[in-house]
Amino acid sequence: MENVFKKFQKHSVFSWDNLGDIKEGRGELGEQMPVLVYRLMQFTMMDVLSRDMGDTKANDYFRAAGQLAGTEFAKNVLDLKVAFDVFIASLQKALADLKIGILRMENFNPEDGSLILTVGEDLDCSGLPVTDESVCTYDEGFITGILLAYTGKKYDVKEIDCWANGARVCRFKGSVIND
Amino acid sequence: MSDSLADTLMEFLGSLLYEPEKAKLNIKELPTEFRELGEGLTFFAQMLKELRAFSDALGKGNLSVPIPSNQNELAAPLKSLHASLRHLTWQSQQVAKGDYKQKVDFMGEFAEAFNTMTQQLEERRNNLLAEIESSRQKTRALEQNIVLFEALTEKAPQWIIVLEHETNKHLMINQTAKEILALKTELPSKLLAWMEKQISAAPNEEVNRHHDIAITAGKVWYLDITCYPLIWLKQRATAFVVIDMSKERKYMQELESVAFRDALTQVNSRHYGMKTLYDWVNSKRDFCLCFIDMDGLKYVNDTFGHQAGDDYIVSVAKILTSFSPDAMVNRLGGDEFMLLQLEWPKDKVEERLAELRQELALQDTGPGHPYTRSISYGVSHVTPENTTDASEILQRTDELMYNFKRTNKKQRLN
Repeated sequence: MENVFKKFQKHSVFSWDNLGDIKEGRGELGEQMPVLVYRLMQFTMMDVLSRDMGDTKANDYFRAAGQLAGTEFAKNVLDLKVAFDVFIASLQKALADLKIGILRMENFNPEDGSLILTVGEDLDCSGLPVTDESVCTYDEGFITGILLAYTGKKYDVKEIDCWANGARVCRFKGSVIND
Repeated sequence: MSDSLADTLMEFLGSLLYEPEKAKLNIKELPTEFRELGEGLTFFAQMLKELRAFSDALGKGNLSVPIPSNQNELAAPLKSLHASLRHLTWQSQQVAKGDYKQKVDFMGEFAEAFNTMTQQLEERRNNLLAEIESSRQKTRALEQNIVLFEALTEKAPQWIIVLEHETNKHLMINQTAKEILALKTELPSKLLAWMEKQISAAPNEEVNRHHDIAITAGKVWYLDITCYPLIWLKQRATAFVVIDMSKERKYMQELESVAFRDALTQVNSRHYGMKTLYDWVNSKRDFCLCFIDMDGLKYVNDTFGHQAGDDYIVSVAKILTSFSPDAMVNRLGGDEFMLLQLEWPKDKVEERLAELRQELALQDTGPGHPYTRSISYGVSHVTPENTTDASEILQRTDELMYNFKRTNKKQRLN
């Protein structure tokens, strides 16, 4: 028999509330967990999706998921009504507090909205062996989602450089997509 | 071949280090088993070339240089430095825009100095903001005070006029002052001219009071004016508070008149005359003192009434006033007068008194009043060498007058 009270509540449809009360749910273990576990899920999922539909498609899904996460993160964690510089400062703090990465702005062009930034000690890829592959598609989507939530504009965010220096650092360039 | 190969590779490595523009390795000329090594060396050479170009540019402070490929792990530390410097540039731009929350987290002592600088800048800004806020509050309080001041002074009896220093613009005029400035006399223009002169003469003086400023405009206005230099809504100004003392001045003149004038004759009073006599004696002046007594006033009063007596007194006062332009005539009371004349010889004084006595005798005393007006007098000359006090001089002169009167009476009886 269908539960009519919760027929619209599905975990396959994302909502911030469905992330649950982690503090309540993990009274003993707490809200933190090792990065290893995060990456275990991320890269096994990438493996399965790539084998099923190819690397390009798998990366597209990762980018789209990252964008959804970025948008929801911005809406629920950040103040979207402040000036750009204040917004960036609060974003830097939030990313550091949640141990997602160390955001460093390199440039912002107020005329066309383009920007260049780096993320150090990135949650997804810091410390990975260097290959020719681009592994930060989720990050690309995440940054796209944040910029969309703040500016209301669609952004194309590309990882333009990625290098190892003890910890891996990724450099991203974002450009406004003019429809 | 191996010697030659070793030389070729050695030469290639040497060129890479010291003449990179000449470094070239033709892989196809290498033995087959060395070609992969050749490819590896060529890749290494490419990485080295990128690194060299990148480090040269960074050394010159050029942060816009193309960055080495992401395969170039040799360049990773420099790329990290490049990213940090670019971020530092961004942070400096943010600081320049007033965002003092920026913190540098690399480069050791530099980071410490930068973070201390931004912290101090923020503290200074906060202090400045606190000062600005304090000033704003003071300004608001002053503005409120000015509103209150205007309300309180609007109906004040004083004339209150606030003039701005640079242009003498009228910043505030209360109702009483408005009425005065609307007068169709010269008072408004003369008063404002006086105020503007005060501003240009001493614009930064402390509170300044001016008493008895006399301005003639139809009548003579006597004004007490207090000047208060102040800042009025951020403008340098002076508030003039004017009190019209004209009525008080007139009242004072009336009081003086009562004290120093004889009401009936309008010559000086006894009080004023005695004061002058004592002053002249004490200040060693050269003058003649005349003690004058009217003859027969009691007879006139008893026979023809007090009005006739008063007429007689007034006529004597009048004729004594014609003694000289600078003679000081005083009525001592009843039928007694005192005349003081500076710097005349005694005989000239006596001669003049004789003339006046003669004129008096010829006066018409009116219908039904058959009597002859006459005076008796004594004259004393007081010199700067005089050592006798005023009361004694007066007594001596009084005796001279009685001698005159007695002699005169005997002559009339004979």
